[in-house]
Amino acid sequence: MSEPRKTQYQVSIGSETAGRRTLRYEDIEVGDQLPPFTKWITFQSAIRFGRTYKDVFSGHINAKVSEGQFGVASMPVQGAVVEAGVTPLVINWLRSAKPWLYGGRQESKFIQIVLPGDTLVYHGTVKEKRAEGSAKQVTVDVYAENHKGEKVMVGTARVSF
Amino acid sequence: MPEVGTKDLKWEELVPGRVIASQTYLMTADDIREEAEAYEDYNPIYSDVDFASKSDIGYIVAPFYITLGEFLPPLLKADLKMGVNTVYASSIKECFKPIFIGDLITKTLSVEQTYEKRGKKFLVWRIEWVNQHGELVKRHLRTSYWVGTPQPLIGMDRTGRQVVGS
Repeated sequence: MSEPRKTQYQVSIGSETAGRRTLRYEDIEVGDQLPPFTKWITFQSAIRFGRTYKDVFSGHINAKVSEGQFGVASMPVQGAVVEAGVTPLVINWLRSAKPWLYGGRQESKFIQIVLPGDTLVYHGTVKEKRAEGSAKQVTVDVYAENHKGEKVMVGTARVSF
Repeated sequence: MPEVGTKDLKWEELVPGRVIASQTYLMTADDIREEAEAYEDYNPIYSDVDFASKSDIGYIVAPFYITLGEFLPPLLKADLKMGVNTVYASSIKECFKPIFIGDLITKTLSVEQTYEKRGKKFLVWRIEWVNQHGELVKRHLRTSYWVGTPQPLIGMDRTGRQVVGS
């Protein structure tokens, strides 16, 4: 291994020429665990996402409507916000967005509501590798759990190489 | 000022194959950055030209989860009230090709399926995104269960306070 380069002040700096180390199909083994990804859910999470579709009154941001829509007044965050956590989980693992955006597939099932104040941790385990001709795909079992250890979402994510 | 639909979405009118609406968007850098920020995802591939140019995709790209308001703007276009009568249960999202700045994307919302299971009614929306080359770039099958007639909507009184009522 080469010595890290140092500046005149003895500050270590990384290589400017080294290539990006993205994961390739060949680098991945069935059973591999993805580095977990943590997402903090706040009331602002629901408001910020709601703004993308001009939500000014749904049960995600209004306690009264929440009671009618979900049966609780606690304003669960949108499911879309919860499932979106799988994207950084996958991209951080691969160190690339390419296999996710060219042929990615996500299946999600929501188990229970997620509330402002919850901390979600996303996990993934490689379930299957499949190569047919030039198409190579990897499927990962994913789930998100809250800070109490309860699963809130389960599903799969498939990437294509 | 928020725009709202005036017609209730009725279960009987959700016929499989019915196209609710199509909308065409010119993707801008702001659309992509704002959507990623809405999900609190600050990966610079969605906002930083320099960073993105060194990535293996080479350009700023829309995130996998981009929705542009999902099924709600098409409902609004058809003058239907926002979907406070459904609860999101499960989904299948596929991304066939990336979406870049400058792409012209047509998003179409249609009814894929309706069914009943264990006393609950389920509705599956199909949302397809086609680019300016006619290529299907994204597909989303979104299953929700029906919680009935829209619940009390929130109005606004003349002082600007929110009040319960249609």
